[in-house]
Amino acid sequence: MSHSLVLFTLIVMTLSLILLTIFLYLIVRKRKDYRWKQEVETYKQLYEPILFRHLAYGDEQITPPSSSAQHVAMMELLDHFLRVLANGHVKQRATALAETYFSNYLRQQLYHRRLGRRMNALFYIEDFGLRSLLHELEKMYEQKHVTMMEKRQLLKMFALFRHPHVYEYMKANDESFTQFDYRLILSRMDDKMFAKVVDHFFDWNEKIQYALIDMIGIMQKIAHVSFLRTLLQHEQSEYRIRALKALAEMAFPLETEQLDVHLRSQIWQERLMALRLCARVRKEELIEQIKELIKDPMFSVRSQAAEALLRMPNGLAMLEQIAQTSDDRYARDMALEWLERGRQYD
Amino acid sequence: MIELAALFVFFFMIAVIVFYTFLLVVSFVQLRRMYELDEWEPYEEMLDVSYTKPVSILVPAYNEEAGIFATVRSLLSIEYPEYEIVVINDGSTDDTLERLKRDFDLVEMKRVIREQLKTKRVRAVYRSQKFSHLFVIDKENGGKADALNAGINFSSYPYVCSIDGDSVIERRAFLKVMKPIIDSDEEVIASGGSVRIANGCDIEKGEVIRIALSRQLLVVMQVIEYLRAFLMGRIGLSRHNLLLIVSGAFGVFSKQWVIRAGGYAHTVGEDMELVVRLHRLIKETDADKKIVYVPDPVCWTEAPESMTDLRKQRRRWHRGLFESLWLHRRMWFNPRYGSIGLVSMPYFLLIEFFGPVVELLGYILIVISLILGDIYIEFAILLFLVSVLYGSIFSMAAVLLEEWTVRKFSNVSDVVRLFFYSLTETLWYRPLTVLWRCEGIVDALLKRKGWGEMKRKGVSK
Repeated sequence: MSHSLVLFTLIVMTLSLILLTIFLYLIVRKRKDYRWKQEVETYKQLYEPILFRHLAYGDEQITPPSSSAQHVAMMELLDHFLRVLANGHVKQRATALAETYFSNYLRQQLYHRRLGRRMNALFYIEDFGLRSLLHELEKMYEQKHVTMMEKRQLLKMFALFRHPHVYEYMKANDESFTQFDYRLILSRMDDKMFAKVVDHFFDWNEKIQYALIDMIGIMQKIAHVSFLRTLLQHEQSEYRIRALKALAEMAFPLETEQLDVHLRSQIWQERLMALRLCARVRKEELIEQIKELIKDPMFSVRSQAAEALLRMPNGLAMLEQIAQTSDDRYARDMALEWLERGRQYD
Repeated sequence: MIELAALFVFFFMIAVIVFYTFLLVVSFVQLRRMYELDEWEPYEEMLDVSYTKPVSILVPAYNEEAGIFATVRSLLSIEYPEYEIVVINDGSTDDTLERLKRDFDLVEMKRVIREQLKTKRVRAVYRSQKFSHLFVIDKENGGKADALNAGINFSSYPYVCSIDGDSVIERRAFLKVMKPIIDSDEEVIASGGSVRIANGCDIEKGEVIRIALSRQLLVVMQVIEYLRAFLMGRIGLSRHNLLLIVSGAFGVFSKQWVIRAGGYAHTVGEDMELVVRLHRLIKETDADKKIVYVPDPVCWTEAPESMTDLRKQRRRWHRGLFESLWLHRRMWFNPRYGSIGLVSMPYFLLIEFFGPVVELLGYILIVISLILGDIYIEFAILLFLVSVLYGSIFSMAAVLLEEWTVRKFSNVSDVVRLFFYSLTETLWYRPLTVLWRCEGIVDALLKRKGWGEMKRKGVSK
């Protein structure tokens, strides 16, 4: 018993000592970091006016940063200015500056053992538009140990930097990427690249397809309206629903006959999205149809129908009439709610 | 007899220590990888409305006139592209509703409420004339769960989050908590964030201006406890989709799934019970869904400063834990529920719930051994050492983990205090909380009800 007691006491003591050592190390490091942060702050204040003049007017010479605190201070400032002064000239100058002063530093950071540091470097490379590092990024992507987080970020950057193999990379990542990832990738493509993705629509997996339809709407890509219209004829309802949603996003005035087909759909999401489009484009020819849909069994369809009516030229009067005379209690309630919303915005 | 009991306590604690060590290592690796990651870049893209899912924030309020203004104020300034705030006045007997009406210019409104969950009668619904995304529901008293369910019925967005009247939310809380949901194409149906203690921090107009440690000893000990629970336990468990129960935490839930699970239930800890139920639903429907936890501190809450209030809180939490576990006893050691049934449930049952009983037994044995003297002194020393390991050492490690990875305290002196206070944990704080938790077990067994609410001072200036 006493042997094990001694042993156990030793274990507890050792552990306490180890913790104490770590504690002392962390305290020393905290002080050091504090001083380092202050150094960065000082440099930032020093660089701010110079860098501003350089970016905005291009008439100031910047001395190259030598210490890592100087690097960090200048990069943080540059990133900040890019966010607040976004115009073509500023971007060009920022990229040129980053190209000369930071690309080596950032290249090294790409090989840092900690993920957090590598990610920060990627963010900077993207923000500064350092296309010259594309080859490095490619190498990083091909590595065995690359994490999902890095892969996502890299693929977005490939899209932004117009990497010729971005399509192959997208195809190769069927499982691990989400629709949200694809949306972000697509959002970075220029019109030409985007059009190429649309052209091969049926070769992509579902996630890319859905993201693609959504992005046409979100980014108001009018050039692809005719493509959306072909999807409206497709037998797969998810395509029709998403296409309608995208068209609603763009407020595209679809023909009355075509909209009428979707308003009568068996699928409630399709009715909902058709109504959303009606609300955006104010098709007066469809008022009777919409009035029927305010009695729809689905709550969200009723609500959207009421909104669509409200947006019509004499919407308030129509809703008033429904609220008073409709034989459907749910329709009356919904009309009342939207009447109030309508009046509130008047 | 004493020897047997002492050995039981000893080996139980050693087993738990091994498990904790595992969690500690998992958390450390996880946190360390993300160390120094930019605070803003990963969330920037989420500010675009077209990508982000809107959230309804539910604020149940029962006699919260002191703190409700600050809570709502802090919510009005959060950074998130699309959200609404729904305050549910659960039949308060004080001036909560009047205060809200006055402060936020409320007018009554008509709104069709889709009653997907059964609740007590809603008397009226108001909207703010100052802020178009602020609504107040006035309903008959039915308890917190009932209030939350009424909020869910009213809410118009696909994600809901419940916030206590005594909490302050970080401005970027929702960006951080929603990120895993959006990133995963909604495979994640619930996402929680760390809670920290607000006492001692400078809070102005519902925003944490400066993070600092309270001067109050009792509060510091709770800060350590929170660090330990959230940094060590939650991250370790979340990593393997094992996270089950979160006492007094902050979380966003998919509304659709909450409704499928039957909404909030009338138990002591609504949020934790809901998490268990969601896990259960996931397993029973074989859905490919996840519940995750984000280590960033996103929510600041007022901790009790007096022994009486702390005791009440701990009793209530432990009773809540018991209720959640008991309600779902079918999941215990049940292979049908996979790792949740075989690891999480046993963990919460044996370590979180039953642990305090063993610890208490340990303390009692120490005292008895000391009285008996002679050879029993060795037992006393052994049990004391293992308690130090179990309590103080792990708390010290948690403090170091925070300083090594998350680093929220900017003052060196705060870290020094945290470290040395955690050293004393086994000597006084731990035995006290253990005793209170055991009282909670007694309460649960005797089916004692009552809320034991603490009096709020309000955390904001």
